[in-house]
Amino acid sequence: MFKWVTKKFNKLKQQQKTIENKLTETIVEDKQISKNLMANKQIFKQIFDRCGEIWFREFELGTNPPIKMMAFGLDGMLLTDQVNENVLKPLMTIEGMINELKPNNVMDMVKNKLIPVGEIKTSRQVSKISDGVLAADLALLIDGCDNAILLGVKGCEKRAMSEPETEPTVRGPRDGFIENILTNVTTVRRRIRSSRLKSEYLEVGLLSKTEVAIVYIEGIADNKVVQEVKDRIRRIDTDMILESGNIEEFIKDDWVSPFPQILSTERPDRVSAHLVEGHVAVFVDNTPFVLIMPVTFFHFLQSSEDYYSGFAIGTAIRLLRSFAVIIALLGPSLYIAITTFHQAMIPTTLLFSIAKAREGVPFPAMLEAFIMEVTFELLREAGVRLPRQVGQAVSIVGALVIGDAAVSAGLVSPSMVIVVAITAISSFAMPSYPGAIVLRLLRFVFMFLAGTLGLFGITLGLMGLFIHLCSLRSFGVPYISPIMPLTLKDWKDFIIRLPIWAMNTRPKLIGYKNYKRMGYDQAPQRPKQRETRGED
Amino acid sequence: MLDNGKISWKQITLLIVLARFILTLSFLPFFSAPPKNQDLWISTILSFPLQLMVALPIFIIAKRFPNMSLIHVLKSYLGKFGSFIGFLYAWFFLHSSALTLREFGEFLTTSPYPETPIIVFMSISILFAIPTVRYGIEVIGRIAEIIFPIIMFSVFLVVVLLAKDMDFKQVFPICEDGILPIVSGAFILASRTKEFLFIGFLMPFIKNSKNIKKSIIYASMILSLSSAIISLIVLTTFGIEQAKNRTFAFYSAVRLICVGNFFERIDAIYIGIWVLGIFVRVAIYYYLTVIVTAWILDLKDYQPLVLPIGAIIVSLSILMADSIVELEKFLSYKIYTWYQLLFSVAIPVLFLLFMAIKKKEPKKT
Repeated sequence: MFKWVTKKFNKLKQQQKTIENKLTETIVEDKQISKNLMANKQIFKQIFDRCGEIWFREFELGTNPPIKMMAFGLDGMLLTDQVNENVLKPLMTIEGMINELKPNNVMDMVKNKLIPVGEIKTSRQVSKISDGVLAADLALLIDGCDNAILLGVKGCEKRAMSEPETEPTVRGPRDGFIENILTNVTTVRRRIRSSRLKSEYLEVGLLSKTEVAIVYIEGIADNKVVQEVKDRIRRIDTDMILESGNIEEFIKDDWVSPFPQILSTERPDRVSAHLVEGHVAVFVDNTPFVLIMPVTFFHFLQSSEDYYSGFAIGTAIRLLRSFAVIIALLGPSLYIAITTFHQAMIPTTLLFSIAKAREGVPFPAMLEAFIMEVTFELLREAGVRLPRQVGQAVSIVGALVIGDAAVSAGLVSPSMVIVVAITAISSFAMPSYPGAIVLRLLRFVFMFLAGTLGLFGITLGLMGLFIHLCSLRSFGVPYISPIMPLTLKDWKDFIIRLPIWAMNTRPKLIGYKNYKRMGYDQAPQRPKQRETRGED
Repeated sequence: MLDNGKISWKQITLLIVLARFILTLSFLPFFSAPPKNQDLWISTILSFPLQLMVALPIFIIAKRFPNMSLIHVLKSYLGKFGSFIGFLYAWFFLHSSALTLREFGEFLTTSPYPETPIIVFMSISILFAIPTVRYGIEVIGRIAEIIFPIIMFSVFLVVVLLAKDMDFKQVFPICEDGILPIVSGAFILASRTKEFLFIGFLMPFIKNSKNIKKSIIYASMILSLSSAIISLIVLTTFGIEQAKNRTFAFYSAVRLICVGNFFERIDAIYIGIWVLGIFVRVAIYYYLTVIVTAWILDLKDYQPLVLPIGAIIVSLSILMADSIVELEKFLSYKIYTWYQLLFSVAIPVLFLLFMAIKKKEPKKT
């Protein structure tokens, strides 16, 4: 049996190996353009055959005798005004430099004196030129030159920066990332105006050629982590990257674990704060979600607003959130365990009222909880996917069916409705969506354990959870790091948050290369002289 | 190296304390042993120096051969005979983990879950222990570091909540039967701390092996202090006569907790916390069984041993005794003390004597 499986598996593997990737062969790597414009034109016309968005424009340089030129680019991704005003116009109507232009220095003259465009590259390789054109550069070919000029005049449609919908805050900056990688990286650069902020660009995906930027602060981020991130991204061999989630799945440490090991965020302030602490950020083109690594579990419990409100408020909110996490994970299972196995734990009067409410309910508590939780998850999922105009219908149905009808029909007990409602609210209190969804998934496991083994089952489940969390690492950093390994200095920014001036060191396991962060003893002090204003 | 994990001296200290303390917490075996009167809290404190003596032979061996486990030392000096002694230790650890599992199952089926068959608890616990053992010593050490504060905090909570039920007159008269029973009680208590063997066997995994002296001292200190606290709690709430007759005396004490008519019957939570601790104990003995066997047999990988040894542990724990009465007979101080001393003191001392006499060079294997 086992042998048979391995045999089949090996066969499959070999089959996969024989299917070579044919896509790589369409563009010849080393082919170079020639001096003949007509021949070059033929090459590119062939490459961009049936690509409707590519336009070709042949024109003549305003010299005497005229030199033939050709420009081509991607329609819709170039700034048409700039192309006309700054590229085509100066070339066609050369003013005052007619005598200086000779056929042998056309290239340099065009590059250095004629085109007022900042970003200019030259290339000979056909593949590079075509890649550049597809990445929204304008290509210029000159008759008699075996070099092409690539001009950066890109300007495609992009969304305006708006407040991130997944991580709203009451106080804090209102800008969120958009789908353009360059805008996103520069948004971070605006916050960290230092040359230490390094950004390295890679291309991932055979077809999509998605731009990926690895951003970190030199001297703070661990070089080993940066190298590891780069290596893991370079190792990706795929045709398409649609979202940073795809990259995340390729590079995360433990693919079996449901726990998110990489933080994704839409907030530039959050990314900047993490960069300064020594994390590495990975920006992916075409998505507003930026990946941050390495992270610990407790980063998913933090919101950037914790740092903007006062430290007492921040701490209180974080404590509340930690409590919410426990409820979201264990709420229904504790209820099941206590009502089915350990009734003695409940005070007598409460026990009577629960027993009264459960009277006539046909299902055991576990089944009841399962029905309610599944219904709630269905409602939530439907609410997310529905078009907004119909969304209200779901909430009406949910409120009526779950809240009222199910109870009055005697299918579920009112106390179970309360438990499910509290759990649902608690699971939304977690600021990170991927973190919350894991808790929701594990909740069902715990409910099953509680229904079969009571509190003993819950303890075993917690034990399993601890073991799993202890074995996880995110880019070398233990996943539950301020607790295990115990680093008390990092508890300043954990479930409590000390005042900003007290957080004078970076996290020990992530930013240990540049440990000190700010001066000591910066606590605001009362003025030494007694102020007498308003008393005279 | 079979396992690349590393643990710190703090973690090994906590492992020793947890593994030793957690069974005491429920079974309180010292109530049935001498001095058999209200002086037993004195013997728990007196056990501190005696525990250090128990740990001494292991400490000497560990100091002499850092980065080598006891198995490797035995094998390199005694060859085949060393492997035989190694097998004895493997049996000892196997037996210990099966014993723990059985006691744990007995506790759960006696008190909170009388209708569930005992094999359910045992097999489920082993099922959860299997991945732990597969992850290796590093995860076990980390788990111990997480669970230790939880257990200590809960004991502290019990002390606070039970304070109003305690009657310190129960402690008097002190030294009713003279000093000798107290000392022998302390000796029996100390002999039960076979967990110092962990240091001998986990030496290759300890990060900074210079600190093992500190580790032994701290572990004995925490152990004798916490045993003293537990025995005082039980003694002052029940009195010695009642306490002796209860199988799970501390558990009964926790059941008495009642604050303000709504915070009561927290025994279920206590069971939960206790399960966490027992789990660490089962896991560490299970792991030691597996890794010792792998070392003796010179295996390259210990993973294939995990599942079969787990199955053996479960079946052994069921077959070892017919009932809890039989089990307690074996665990009583008259038999169990000598059984443990054989492994934790006698064999290491004999080996040290052998080395002192022969002054042999290690055999090259």
